[in-house]
Amino acid sequence: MARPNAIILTDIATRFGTHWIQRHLDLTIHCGEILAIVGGSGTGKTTLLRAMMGLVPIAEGQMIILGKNPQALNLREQIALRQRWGVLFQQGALFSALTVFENIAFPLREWGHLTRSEISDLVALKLQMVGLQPNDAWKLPAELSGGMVKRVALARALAMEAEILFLDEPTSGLDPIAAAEFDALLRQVHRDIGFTVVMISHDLDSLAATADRVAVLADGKVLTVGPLTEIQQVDHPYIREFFHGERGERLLTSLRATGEC
Amino acid sequence: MTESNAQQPHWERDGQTLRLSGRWTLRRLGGNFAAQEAALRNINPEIVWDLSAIEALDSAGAILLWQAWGGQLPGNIRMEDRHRSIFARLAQVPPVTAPPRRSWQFLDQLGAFLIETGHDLWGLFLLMGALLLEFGRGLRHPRSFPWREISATIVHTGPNSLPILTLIGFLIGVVISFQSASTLAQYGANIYIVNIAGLSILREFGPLITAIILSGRSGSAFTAQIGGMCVTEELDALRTFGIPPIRRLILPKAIALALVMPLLVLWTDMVGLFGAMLVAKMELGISTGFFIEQMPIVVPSFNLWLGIAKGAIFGILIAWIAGFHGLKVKPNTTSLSRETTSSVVMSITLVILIDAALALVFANTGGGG
Repeated sequence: MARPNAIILTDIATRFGTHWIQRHLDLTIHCGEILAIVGGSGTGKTTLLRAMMGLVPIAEGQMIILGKNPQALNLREQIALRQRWGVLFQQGALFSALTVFENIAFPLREWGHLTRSEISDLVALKLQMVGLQPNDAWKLPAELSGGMVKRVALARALAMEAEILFLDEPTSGLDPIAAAEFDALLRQVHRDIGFTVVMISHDLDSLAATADRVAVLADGKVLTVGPLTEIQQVDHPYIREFFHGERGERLLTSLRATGEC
Repeated sequence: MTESNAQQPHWERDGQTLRLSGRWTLRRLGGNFAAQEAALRNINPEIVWDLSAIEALDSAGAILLWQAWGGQLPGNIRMEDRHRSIFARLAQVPPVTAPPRRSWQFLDQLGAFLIETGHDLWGLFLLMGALLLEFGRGLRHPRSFPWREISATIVHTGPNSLPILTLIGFLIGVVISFQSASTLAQYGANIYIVNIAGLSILREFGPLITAIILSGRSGSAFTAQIGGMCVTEELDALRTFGIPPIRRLILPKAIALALVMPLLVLWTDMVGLFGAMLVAKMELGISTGFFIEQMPIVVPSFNLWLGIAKGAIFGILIAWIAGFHGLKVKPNTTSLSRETTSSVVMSITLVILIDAALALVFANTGGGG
């Protein structure tokens, strides 16, 4: 690959008004990996993710995403760059006035370089990819279950053949079975297509099932980055609580038992 | 663009082998999709397809090749395993069928419209019954009556609507007076301006304008508020505490508007008459003193009371319709906007219908001389 790194954040700072969320934050995300961001509430996980997507301005520092610096691009190039990543918002953010089919077809239609039949073929493929039936295509978002909303949102995020996929708590609001199914789906689609995934998650099971590396945010910085088994060794109050609390211990024990640890 | 042309998807023929290379991705293929597919389709399928030199292949590129091959893998093909899995997936994709279209869709929609209208009328009837029951219950248990909500609604709907009512009421008074002035002056019937302005403003325009402004201003706000609470499950939360949303949300609004609307009508009447009086003085030379003296003589007070009573009726009507549509909201954004619109349209329509009905009922009363 020409670009070993999908996103390089150097000395990044973000803020709301006078309140600094992050300062001097460095993070490198490799091409093709699944990186999970964890951290307590208020550490700015979502802000960081939105800064990478370009929805929140970066106050200081430099971001290189897919080999380009978005701040140095003109508007047209920025839009072209934005089309290279997909986003799955926490609540799905499906357009409630459009059917499932129209939601997935939306970015393709807006792009304007494809005919109707090509769009229809691509949508059919995406639907199958996320495990939905063809007759789900004409349902409205209000008629879908939580797990299906996430699947449709994933299909829409992937519609433009995204090279980076941003996921904001993909399994929140799902029951454990639907969450596990979604993790498996993400793993499988990731293996088939090979995009880069940046996700926020609190779900330890989900982290263990999907993430290649985990970045822990605390005090406005990246505390540590690495595979799950490595970062739980780091001595920090948040990490101790997160991984060595009751829930964390249970999971790590089961991981050890299955020989993954 | 920093990427060179070599990354464009292309192919070259080498004897019996067709070597594909470049990036076969959506972004590279866009626009030429159909042309590329047609060109590939014309190639003899017996040839050896060599996909091993392809730099990138996404699902769009795979679909293009798949369609060029007529929906199956060609007999002689060389490619990497990771690409093979994409085609394996494509082979299983069921096509998305067109949305089910019914014939006689027009009749279908008409029937649905009629049924929904029937449901709405029945629902409105039931809501009015529930409001009356809740009101009766409130009278028996004054302690649990929603006093605070009533006073909050009075503040929101009363004083805050005064500026717009002042402006509109004044302008209507001016316009009525101004339009009548030239005709009256022709016949030398200048003093009849007092009858015309007094009767039309007190009896019709005051209550109508107030009701129309309040439907737009407060009716829509009620629907959006109740509908928003429906979307965020706050109504369900209320119900779990054993409090019917009708008691806590709609009844106080109906009572508040029934109290506040007569006062607003009175205010609109006053500014309207003031506007009419100013124009009468300027255009017809009728002094303000004469205008004020004549008013109670030529316009029976019945008209004032009828206008104020209409205000109370319209107030209850607006809260009733707005509450009904608010409760009908389903948890999606289109439903909220649709119900808010129909709430305003329905309450304005009903206000005018009821006004017409009252005009017929009281046709022979309060005409004055």
